[in-house]
Amino acid sequence: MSNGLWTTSVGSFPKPPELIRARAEHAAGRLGDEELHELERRATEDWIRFQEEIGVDILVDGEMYRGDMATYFAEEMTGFEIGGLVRSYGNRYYRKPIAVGAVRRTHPITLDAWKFAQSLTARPVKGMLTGPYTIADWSFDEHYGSRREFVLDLARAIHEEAMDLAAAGAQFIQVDEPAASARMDELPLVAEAMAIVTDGLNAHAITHICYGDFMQAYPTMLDIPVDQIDLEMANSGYDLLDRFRDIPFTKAIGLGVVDVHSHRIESVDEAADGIRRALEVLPPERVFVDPDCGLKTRTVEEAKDKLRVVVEAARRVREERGIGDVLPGRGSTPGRSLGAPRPASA
Amino acid sequence: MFASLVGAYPRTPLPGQPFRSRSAHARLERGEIDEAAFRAVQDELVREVMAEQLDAGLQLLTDGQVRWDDQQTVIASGLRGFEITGLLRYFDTNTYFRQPRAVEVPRWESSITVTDWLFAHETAAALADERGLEAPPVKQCVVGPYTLGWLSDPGEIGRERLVLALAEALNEELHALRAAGAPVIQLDENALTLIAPDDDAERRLAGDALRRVMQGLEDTHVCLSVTMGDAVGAGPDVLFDAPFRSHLFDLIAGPDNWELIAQAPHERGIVCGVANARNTMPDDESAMIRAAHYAASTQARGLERVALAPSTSLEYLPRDRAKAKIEALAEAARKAAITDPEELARQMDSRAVDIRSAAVGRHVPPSEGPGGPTTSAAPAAAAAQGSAR
Repeated sequence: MSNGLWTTSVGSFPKPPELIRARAEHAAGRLGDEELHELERRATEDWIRFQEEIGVDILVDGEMYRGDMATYFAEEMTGFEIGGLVRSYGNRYYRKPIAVGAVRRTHPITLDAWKFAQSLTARPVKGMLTGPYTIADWSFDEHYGSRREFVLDLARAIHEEAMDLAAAGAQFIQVDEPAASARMDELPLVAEAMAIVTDGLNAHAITHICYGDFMQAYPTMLDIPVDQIDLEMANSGYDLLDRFRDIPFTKAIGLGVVDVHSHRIESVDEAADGIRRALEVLPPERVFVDPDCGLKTRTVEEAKDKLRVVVEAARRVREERGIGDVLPGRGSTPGRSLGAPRPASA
Repeated sequence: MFASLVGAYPRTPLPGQPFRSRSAHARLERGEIDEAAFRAVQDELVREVMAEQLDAGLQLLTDGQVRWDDQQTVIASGLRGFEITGLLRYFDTNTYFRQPRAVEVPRWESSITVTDWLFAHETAAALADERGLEAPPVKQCVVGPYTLGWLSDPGEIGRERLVLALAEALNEELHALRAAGAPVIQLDENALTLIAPDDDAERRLAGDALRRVMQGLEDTHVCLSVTMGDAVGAGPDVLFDAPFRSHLFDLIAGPDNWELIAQAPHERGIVCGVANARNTMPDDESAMIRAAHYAASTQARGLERVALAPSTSLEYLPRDRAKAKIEALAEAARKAAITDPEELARQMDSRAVDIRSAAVGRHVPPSEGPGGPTTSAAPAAAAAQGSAR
C-alpha cells in the first residue's frame, strides 16, 4: 500500500476576536507582555486541538503571535527598522520593514513558539519561517544597494533559525517564499539563498510560493533546493498541473485545494477533484494537501470549514485509491537536489 | 515644468493620525454603516490627499485613487462582460488585485470614472480657493486596453479580441471624461513593458489597441503612462503613433526608457518618473533636475513640455515617505524651471553643480570661496569635503 495525500496547512490561521483586541490593547500599551502571551498560547492550543480533532496529519501553530510574515522576522533581527503601513490589497495593510544596517539574527525567533506548539501534540508541527528573498523583497532597502547581498545576509540568518528548529526536533520546516514568482530573472537568487537556508538541514524542507506567474516560473522553480514546493492551485484553476505532463515535477507538492481569499466554502467534491487531477501527474507519496495559502484572512469559522473540506477531500481520495497515511521519514528526499530537467544536450 | 503624481497615493494615515478609512471599510463589511456613510469617509480622504498634493506644490492633482481597490477591478466592474475572480500579484509588487474574467465581449454602458473625477475637480477648486490659489487641473487615470486585457482572464473570447473590444469600450470612457471637462486623462499601460523586442504580433496588437482607444481624441490631452519597467520592446512606433499629447515613463525601473524619450516627437510632453516610488530613500534632487533638463533637450522639446513625477504609484510607500517624496519632487520641478544657471547653482546643493571637483575631493563650497554665495546646503557640502580629505 502506498502512503500519501497528507493534510496540512500553509501556516497562518485567523486570530480569535479576543486576541485581536488584546493585540490592539498591547500595541497601545494598555496590556502587558505576559497577558498577551497567555492569550496567544491559549489560541495556539485551541488551533492545535482543532487540527487534531478533524484529523490533520501535519499541524501548524497558526502564528497567533505574528502580524505580517516578513515584518515579524524583521522586528526580531538587528539591522531593520519598521516603517509605516502600506496596503497589500483591499483593506489589508502591513508595516513594511526598512533595512538600515546589516541584518543579523541575534537570537532564536520562532523556536519557543514551535516548542510550545509541539509540546501540545504527538503529531508533527511544522516549523514556519519566512524566506530570505521574500523578507528582502517586502522590505525597503536603505543600506545594501544590492538585492543579492541583502538576500544572502538574510539567508544566513534564516539558516540559523532553521537549524535550531531541526535540532529541537522539527521534522518539517517550511520556508515561505511568496515573492519568488514575481521576478523570473531573480529565481536563481531565490535558489541560491535557499541553498544557504537548507544546507545540512535534517528535515523535510518546504517552500511555499503563491499568487505569481507559475507558468513563467516553471520549471525553473524546481531548482530551489527543497523537498517540497507548496503551491496555490485552487485559486489558479490547477492550470500548472498540465505542464507537469510535459516537464515532470521533480519534488513533492503541497497542493492548495481551497481558495483562502474567498468567503465561499468549497465543496468536498471540488477539492477532491483537484486532488484527483494532481494524482494524474504525481504519485500520492509526493502529494501533500492543504489550503492555497495562510487562512488568516478568513473568519475563524470560515477557516475551520475550509480545513474540514481539505481533510475530508483527502480522506475520500485516500479511501477511493487505497492510500495510507503513514508519514514520510525525517530528513531530506532526493527531490531536494533534483532541479529542473535539462535538455539532453545541456 | 511642474510635478504630479503618477496616480495613486497612500490612503494610510500620517503617523499618529487615526486610520478612518480602514475602520470605515471594516464597519461597512460588518454591515454597521451603509454605502453613503462609507463614501462620506472616502470623500474626506480624497480632500485630505488632494490638500497634501496642493500644499506640497504639485500642480496637476489626482484623487490618489484612494477609493479604488485597484484599477483593473474598478474599470472591469464598470463595463459589461466581466466577472471578478481570484487574487493576482500586480507585476512584481507585494500588492494584489482581483483578476477580471471576460464572460462576454466587454461593452461600455455608462461612465465609470466621471463621478469621481468631478468630485476631485470640485475638491481641488475648493482647496485652492481656501488657499487663495488658482484652481489646479485634476487628471483622471484609466487603465489602458492592452494592460487590462493582459491582466484579465480572456475566457472563451481570446486575448486579441478582448484587447480590441476593450479599446473600443475604453474609448467611450475617455470620451465621457472629455465631455465632463477632464483637462488631462492618463491611460495607464504598464503591460507595454512586457512586450519582447522580437514579438511583432504583440506590438501590432498593442498599436491597434492604442489607436482605437484614442479614436476621436486628437483634441484632448491624453497622457500615455508606462511604469514598472521599460517599454523598449514595444518601441516608438507603438508608443508614438496614436495622438497622445504626453508620455509618462518610469525612469527608475526602466532606465532604458530614456531611449524612447529621445525619440518622442518634439511636440509631445514628457513626464519623467524620477522619484523612486518603491523605496523610502530620499531621491537625489540634482539627478531629478538633470533628468528634466535632459528630457527638455531631446528633440528641442523645451522645459515647458517636461514634468516630473514618481516612478510609479506612490501607494507602495508609507504615507509620510510619500509626502516627503512629493515635496521633494515639487521642489526639484521648481528648481528645474530656473533657466539662469547661476541662479540654479545658488539654489542647489553646490556639489551637484560642481560634480567633477566634488568627485575628486577638491570641491570648495561657494560659501567658503572668495565672495561666493551662501547656500543652505553649505554645511552638508563642507562636511562632505572634510570626509573626502
